[in-house]
Amino acid sequence: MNDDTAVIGQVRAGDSGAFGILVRKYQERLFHCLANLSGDMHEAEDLAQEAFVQAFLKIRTFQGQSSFFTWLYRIAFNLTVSRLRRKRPHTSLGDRHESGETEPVDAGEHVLDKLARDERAAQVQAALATLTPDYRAILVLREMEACDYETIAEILNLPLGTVRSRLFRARMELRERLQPLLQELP
Amino acid sequence: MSVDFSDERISAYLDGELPPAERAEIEALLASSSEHRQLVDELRALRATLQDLPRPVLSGDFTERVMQRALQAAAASPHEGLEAGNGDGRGASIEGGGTSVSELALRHSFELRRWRRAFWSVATVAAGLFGVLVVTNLKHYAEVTINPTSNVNTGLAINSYAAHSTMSEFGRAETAAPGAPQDEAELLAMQAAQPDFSGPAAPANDGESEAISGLARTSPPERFGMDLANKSTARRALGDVDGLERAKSAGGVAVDDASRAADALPGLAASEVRDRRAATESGKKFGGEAPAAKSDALNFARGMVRGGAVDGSGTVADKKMLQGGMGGAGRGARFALPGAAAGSAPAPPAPAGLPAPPVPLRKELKTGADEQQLAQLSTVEKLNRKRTFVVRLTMPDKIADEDFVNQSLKKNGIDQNLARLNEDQTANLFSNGAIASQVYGIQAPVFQAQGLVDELRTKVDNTVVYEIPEAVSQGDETLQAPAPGNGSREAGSRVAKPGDGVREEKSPIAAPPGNAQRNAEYRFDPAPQAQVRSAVVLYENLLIQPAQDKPVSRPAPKENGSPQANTTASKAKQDELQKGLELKHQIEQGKQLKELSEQQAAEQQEMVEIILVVDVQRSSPGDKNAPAKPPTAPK
Repeated sequence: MNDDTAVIGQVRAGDSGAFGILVRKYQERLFHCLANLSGDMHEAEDLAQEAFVQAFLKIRTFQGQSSFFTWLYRIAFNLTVSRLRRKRPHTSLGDRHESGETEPVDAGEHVLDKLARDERAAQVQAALATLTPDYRAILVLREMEACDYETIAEILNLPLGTVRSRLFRARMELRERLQPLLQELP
Repeated sequence: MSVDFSDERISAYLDGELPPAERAEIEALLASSSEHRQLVDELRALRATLQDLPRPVLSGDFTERVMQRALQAAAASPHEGLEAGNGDGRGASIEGGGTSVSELALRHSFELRRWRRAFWSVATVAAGLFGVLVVTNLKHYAEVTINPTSNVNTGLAINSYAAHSTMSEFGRAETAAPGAPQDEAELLAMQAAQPDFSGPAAPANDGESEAISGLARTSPPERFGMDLANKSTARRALGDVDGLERAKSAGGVAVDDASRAADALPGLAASEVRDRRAATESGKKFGGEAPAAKSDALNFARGMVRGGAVDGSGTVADKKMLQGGMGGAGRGARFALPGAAAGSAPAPPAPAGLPAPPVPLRKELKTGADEQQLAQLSTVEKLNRKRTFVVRLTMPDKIADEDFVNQSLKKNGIDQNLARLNEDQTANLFSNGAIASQVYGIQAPVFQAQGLVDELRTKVDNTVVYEIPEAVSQGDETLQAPAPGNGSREAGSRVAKPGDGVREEKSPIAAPPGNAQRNAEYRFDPAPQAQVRSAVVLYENLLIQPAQDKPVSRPAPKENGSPQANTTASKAKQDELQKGLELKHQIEQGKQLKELSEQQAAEQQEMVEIILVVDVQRSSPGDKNAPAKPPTAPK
């Protein structure tokens, strides 16, 4: 985080190019997070870009009380959740997977295993898409980003107790949707 | 599966977010309950499933696009975002990656913003100095004693002086000094910042080259790139040879003026206290005691300058800024109202090198309407029947003295601020674009817009025809803003249909108290096509001059008989004749009444046109302080 603070100081001092460091540092992680949250890669990329732009424009208001990562995620999640509440995703990740775009392929993976994994991923994505944006957000932050409760509370601007209860409900709901899949798992 | 309180804790247990005591409880629960163990297993499997989802990969140019988009967003919102740094940033490498066009452009954007901010600071200081200079110079130009609270007109003079001439050229100097890109990288940066930027045009001829060179000499080098923020303006300025020539001559003046302003009144713009002090000092020169109002007048001028200096070519390059400036002007004028009594001085001539202020209108602002016809109408008829407003400017030779004004202020308040203008001042008032009317104690909207002035100039015989809001003309209690577009109607014809709320029986004379306050808040629709920006300025000497109320002459019964016949006829015959005449008269009267009724009905149907006839006349010397006698209220 100290590195981020130094870079932010450079950006504030007028070295706008330094902002590129922050973009490069967090872009993949943020994009992955937003992709799972929005269920649409195109939209996730757009949202990530918008989040970085907003962070750049508002970087003067960043007070350093939280990490830049948390602050950036808060911006991104606010953007994403508000957008998700307005509309449904157009292209699912499953569609994108079917098209074979950008997905890394493990050369050593068996074809059948890959098919099974793709199918499982499509089911999980479909189940995630049925959840409310709030549930999706908290699940993505916890299960995929491994954020602790405190960070989640900070990003989503929620009390710790709400984080715990909401996370539990989100898990239970997703568990219910994926019950057949979970029972198949070894 | 039953879900109880412990389930939520199981979820937290899974995440390792439970304190040791609760964790021990949950472990005990799991040891005793297979149901809960299954839940934990499923939740762990769920987590594994989610974490096993494939990770999508970003496109390779994501960083570039983010930086470019950030640059565009920063350029679009200049008041938001980063503080400009101290370093120039040129030539610095981008950490974590190679130097890109967008990053160069981004860096350049900060320079633009920094210098733009510097420009506005200088422009503001220059505006303040011009305001002070103009106020000072009024002493030399005014033929009459300036009323100490004449800040409104002072502001107008500043407005005319600064916005129309000096600062306009100042703006042109700025816009015409874009500075060519110093190298290819810079040009690329500009193109990246503004994709449709095709680069400044090459000088078309030697004169243009010379002009550019001249501007390069007169403009500080750090001003480079300032105008790149407005690429269209820069291009237009570069393509405008005449503008460049003018800018060449005016640019130095503007820079010098700005420098003088900075030297003479440092912090004028930054410090309201200093601003007010300067205003106070200016006011003292005229024996005034309204520093706040003076300051407002300066703010007024400054607002105009900010609006006018955005684009020196006279076009609206930044409408938002212009509106803000006009708003500032309006606020300045409006805030000046409480301390204001109308006094005025003609705008001082422009200094050498600057264009002259707008040519004043003719002093005789008389309508081309048939005066005889107007004279035959009583005021009531004008107001209620013909709906013609005859507004006369009564201008005594001498401006009302301070005591009178103060007494008037105390006695009557804002609505009755009486002061007088001479003809020059009045003409100047109109040339400055301020039109005020005080219609029987109702403060009508005042226009402060160059567009309206231009419109006035095009009117034949300087007949001022504009729409008087219904609420104002009718003295309505509820003053409603006009529908969008109403305020921009070119000619002031207002269509009133029967039953549309126009109350025929109520004239503006009968306006209830307090209307002026509401009317002061009235704003015309600032439709861009009319360029009407309202500013409320009170000139109480603009009154409806009551016409000579003449009783409506009834057609007297005509006696057809000769005098000799009358003397020789018998009394019975006379009585018979008289009866016949009376009967005839009654018939004629009935016809007249019928005709009148039909005429009135026709009038109800026709378009109602409210004509504001501005007639400047000089009052009698002995009546220098007396306001025009208000007309009697209609019955």
